Amino acid sequence: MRGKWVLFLLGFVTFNTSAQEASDDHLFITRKIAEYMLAFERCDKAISNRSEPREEVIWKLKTFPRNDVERFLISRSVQLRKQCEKPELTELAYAILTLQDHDIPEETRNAIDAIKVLAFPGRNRQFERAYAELPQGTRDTLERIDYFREPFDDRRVRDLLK
Amino acid sequence: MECPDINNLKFSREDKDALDEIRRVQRAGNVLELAMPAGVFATIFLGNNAAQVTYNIHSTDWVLFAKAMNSIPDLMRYRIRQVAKLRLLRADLSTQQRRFWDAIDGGCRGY
Repeated sequence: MRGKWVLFLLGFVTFNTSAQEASDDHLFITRKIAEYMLAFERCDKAISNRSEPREEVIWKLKTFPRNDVERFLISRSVQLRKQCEKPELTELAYAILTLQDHDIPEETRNAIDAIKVLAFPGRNRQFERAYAELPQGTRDTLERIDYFREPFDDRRVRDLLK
Repeated sequence: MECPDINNLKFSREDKDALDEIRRVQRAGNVLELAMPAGVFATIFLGNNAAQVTYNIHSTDWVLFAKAMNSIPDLMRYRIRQVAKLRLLRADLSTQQRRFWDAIDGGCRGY
């Protein structure tokens, strides 16, 4: 009888410990997600606070083929945005990897799957490819323009070119 | 941005894949809103179901999670616009396809 009580208590403690670990894991990853979201907002704000490029920048852009300029603006803006978010993105990726082998509840797994779609879209490699396929001369010239060394809103610049 | 009238728009397979991606982004955003602790506590206080798990949340976490919850729609919009931008990089789009994806990039929510 006593043995059964000991077994019961051990099981109860183990269950409670597992349940607490699961909720700790959930809190751990959602904190990392929240920190990434703040980084996203920080970078968003930095971009929207930027003034428009000077007239000579627009003039310079108009000397290049329209398709190349569009390609540069879109892919470069993604590149710089990613750099802005990099510290928190890296922390988030690390946090997700550390939970890989944990026995995590469905809610936590769903949160991880969701943030993977939102923070690590696989299609971003297509932007990198688009950038790499630009003529070297075009890339070199436009990268040297100060305006395109900080995160910017590509849509805003493209609208100015219309 | 107002969604434009576009006549004779035909979606290619890549367009349909992109639209599926947009739906995935929307679903992911909805899941995240429910999974974040701020969302859980909203359910406790505003809904009928009580969470079964206990959280050890520090006071500073409340601000962090509340701000994060507010950012989820912005992140969803950004990712959706990225899907549209990728389509715009294609040289083989018809005029109608280009207008459609340009409208999505511009903030039109006709998807």
